[in-house]
Amino acid sequence: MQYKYLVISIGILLQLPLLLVAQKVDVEPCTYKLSGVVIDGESNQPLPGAVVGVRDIAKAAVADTSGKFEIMHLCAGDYVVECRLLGYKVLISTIRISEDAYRKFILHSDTCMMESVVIIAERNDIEKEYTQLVFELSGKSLDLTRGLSLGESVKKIPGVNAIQSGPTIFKPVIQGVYGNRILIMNNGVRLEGQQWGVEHAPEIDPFLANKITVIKGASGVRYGADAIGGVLLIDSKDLRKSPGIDGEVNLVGISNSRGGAGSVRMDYAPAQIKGLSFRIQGTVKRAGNFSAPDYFLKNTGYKEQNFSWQAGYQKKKFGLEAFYSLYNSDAGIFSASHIGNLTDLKNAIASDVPLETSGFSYKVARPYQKVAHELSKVQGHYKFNKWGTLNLSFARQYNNRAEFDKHKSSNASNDESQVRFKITTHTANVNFAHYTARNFSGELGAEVILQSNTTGGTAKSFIPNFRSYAGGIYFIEKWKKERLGLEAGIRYDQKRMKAFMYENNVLVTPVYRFSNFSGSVGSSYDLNENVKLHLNFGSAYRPPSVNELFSDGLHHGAARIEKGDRGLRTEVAYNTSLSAHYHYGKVFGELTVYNNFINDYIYLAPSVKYDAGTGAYVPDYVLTVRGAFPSFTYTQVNAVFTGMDFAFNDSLSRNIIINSRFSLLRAVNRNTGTHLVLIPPANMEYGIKYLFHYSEKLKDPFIAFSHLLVLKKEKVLEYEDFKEPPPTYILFNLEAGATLYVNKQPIDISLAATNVLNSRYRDYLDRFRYFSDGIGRNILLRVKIPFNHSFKSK
Amino acid sequence: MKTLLKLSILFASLLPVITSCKKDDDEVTKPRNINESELITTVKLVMVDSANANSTYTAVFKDEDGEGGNAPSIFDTIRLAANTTYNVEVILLDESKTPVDTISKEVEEEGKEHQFFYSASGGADIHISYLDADDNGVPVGLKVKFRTGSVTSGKNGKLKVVLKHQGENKPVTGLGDPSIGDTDVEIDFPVLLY
Repeated sequence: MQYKYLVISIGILLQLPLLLVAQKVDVEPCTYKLSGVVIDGESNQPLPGAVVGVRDIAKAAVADTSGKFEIMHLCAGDYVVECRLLGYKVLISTIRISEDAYRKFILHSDTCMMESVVIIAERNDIEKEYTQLVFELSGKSLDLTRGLSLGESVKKIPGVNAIQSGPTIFKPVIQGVYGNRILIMNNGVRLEGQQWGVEHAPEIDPFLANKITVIKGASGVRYGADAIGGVLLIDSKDLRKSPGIDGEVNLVGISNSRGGAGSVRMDYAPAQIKGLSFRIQGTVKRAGNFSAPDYFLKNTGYKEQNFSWQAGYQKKKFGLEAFYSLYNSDAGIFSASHIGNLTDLKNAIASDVPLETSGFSYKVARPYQKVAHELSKVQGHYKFNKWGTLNLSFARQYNNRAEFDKHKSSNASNDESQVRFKITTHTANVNFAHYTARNFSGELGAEVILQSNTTGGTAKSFIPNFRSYAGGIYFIEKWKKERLGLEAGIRYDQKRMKAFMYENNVLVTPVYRFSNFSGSVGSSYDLNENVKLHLNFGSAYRPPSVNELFSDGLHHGAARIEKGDRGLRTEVAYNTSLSAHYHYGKVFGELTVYNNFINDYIYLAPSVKYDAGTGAYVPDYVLTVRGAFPSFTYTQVNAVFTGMDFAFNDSLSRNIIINSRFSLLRAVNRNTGTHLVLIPPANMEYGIKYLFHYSEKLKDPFIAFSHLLVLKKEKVLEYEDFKEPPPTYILFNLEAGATLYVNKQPIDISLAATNVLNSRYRDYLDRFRYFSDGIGRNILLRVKIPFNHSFKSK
Repeated sequence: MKTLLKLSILFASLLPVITSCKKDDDEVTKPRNINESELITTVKLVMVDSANANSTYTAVFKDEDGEGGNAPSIFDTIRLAANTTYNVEVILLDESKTPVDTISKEVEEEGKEHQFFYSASGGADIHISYLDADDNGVPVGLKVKFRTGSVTSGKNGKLKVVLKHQGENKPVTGLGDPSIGDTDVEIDFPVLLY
């Protein structure tokens, strides 16, 4: 059964070289060159990343940082040339080539977006900047994730998964690496909350994003500590450049939880003061209990209210920008997952259905988490005539997380939370990017992070109060000429942390110091216009997080005693990846193989002791008033993550697009040769999309069918988990959508159904798989109404 | 020069952000003492011979620093005479506090949300019956009767004492349901009947 799918996958893989060969046939000596520049019609600024493509012969070029492009080896003749960039209207023009030609393409922004992209949106614009692997969700493909949480939105990207705690809490996993090892950048600021917890979801409103970028692999040089597995960049749309008003309204209905989300964005730039621009944005989400095929998941509803504003002032030489966002959520924790002790856990696992079920309710009751996250940022840049651009930014984040247990503490007079963490983070960045000279471009930067955390509440918690200071400096230089691009970077970081805690009624203040060099070397090579190769070596490091150092107590949801180790060292990753991108007309393929050595990889290992009676190692139980619990200790091993990600799209005809992706990963403890826990099993998705002919009133109508297959996780150590990994499962999904025009007003409508057959399944990465099935059929209705009105400039 | 002016304006406008951030920093150096939170450190079973009030035996389980940390400091074996009836009272204490907090009082007050369950195994011949009840007439189990049988042979005799926090799910009729709720206490006392 499983092998059958593997064979199909390999079959598709094998198509790839055939296409490469087929494409090489029509080479004839043509010597003309089409070059030029792409600029923004409103701001007159160059548009790096714009794609200029010649129809029918599949030649294309990407505009560089100064908006310039070049297409070589053209024969004489008439060509239809398309110029496109996400967020701009496509420009199509006919060009006669009889000698070298130069053209200026002026693009105008398009608020209703464009271009249906399957799975992965335009990648070309960023490949220019990174030699690393980069995937981007934007435009239509981002629209099709609206209403989902951040972690769930990125699951469609090959090699990206999510560790979930029930239907609403998702943490992104990149190439098997998760938690504190994934850095999330919210509008350029590293998200600093309480990311150490597996059940702590990133505090970001996905509606804020106009673009979600995933950088896979160690990215320590550019982004600093923690970027061992990769980086998620959440970017909002650039502020308006021309006077006017625009925005969009997004509405999402979710059948499974009878929930809904609504988000409004409004941008305004006054005609009186040129360069000034504002935005306000807000989102409200509400959902009740989700349901598995056979029962409701008690207390899985949530409430979320988010708000943000942004203001900017742009001049030719300098710009200033302020950004503020507030995230507020109350997320219910599935009642049946809250466990008193090991006996309760064993009973819960033994039961086919959750021990606590309920009907439908919107109420978020205990146990639940209440999280507020506030981000304020000011940033400015100045363009020097000769040298380059200086960027400065300051940000403050405040995160307040309260966790309410199933029952309130009986001596608590009011409705206090059992634990509460308040963390305040200040970050300051200075960065100087020099202009491209002699094919070199690069940047030099420094970063300072100050952090203070306080822990409160009525119960024992995993982390103490602490204060930390961290600083880093980095230097990255890139060189690009013709087909070859090279990049090298180096960074040095230091961190000092002081904890404040009581131990046996005595105040202790242990101090930690960490310092580290990281480096990266990367290259990209264009084999021809259609195939591009990337080879990258990167390193990154992560100092142990506070919970890994100081935990000592019972983790209620997990029914185990978790012990920190104050002697933990810094984790260091050495990442190698090789990837091939293939792009020919609408056909797109990408294959990546990677290897990530993580030395001193920290994970929670079960404590075992030698049992002389049986001659075997048995779990070491810790006796408490609630019974005996298995004991887990944060341990360091040398690990290696080896895997491959593959994605492939092809248009079988003008109307039919097929797509597939799959990921394989093996993560091993190099000391013992055993496999690590919580690593994504092999998974693949195949889909077919049918594009209808469209009329003036109904644009880009489509219907898509896809099928997700997740294989059973094999080779996990039995004593490291309470339950065997769930069996292989298959889910079927359907999607349909179109853009409707009502009096020239576009309205995007889509309907998506996941788990169409309402199948019972459990996912290995769902921490609540011990207690319940995954969610059943879910139908999402999405409506997006963009609007735009330009003022006549005086 | 003009450039310099513009730059300084830029810096100046950013300044308010840095200075405006301070707050709760003082709290960091004053962490809470975890021992202030609720903890069941001690479970006491006070067993009084129903025929002779002077004959009492108390079995104690005590783990002063709660879950994790140090191992329990006291873990007694229940030693009772065979073929005898005992009136038993359970006392739950938080001895990490001064004065000591008697948590069993709170359990009594919230009797409609809690219940103790007892079961003997491994050759320990003890019959258990409830002596108390909540407002609905369902046992709470803070007061129970142990009727011991014959002398224990072997060393495997155990008495499991479980306190369940059942909240609003506690049954309102019958003798209760041990499968409901979260476990607040679960101790397997070794038992010796002599």
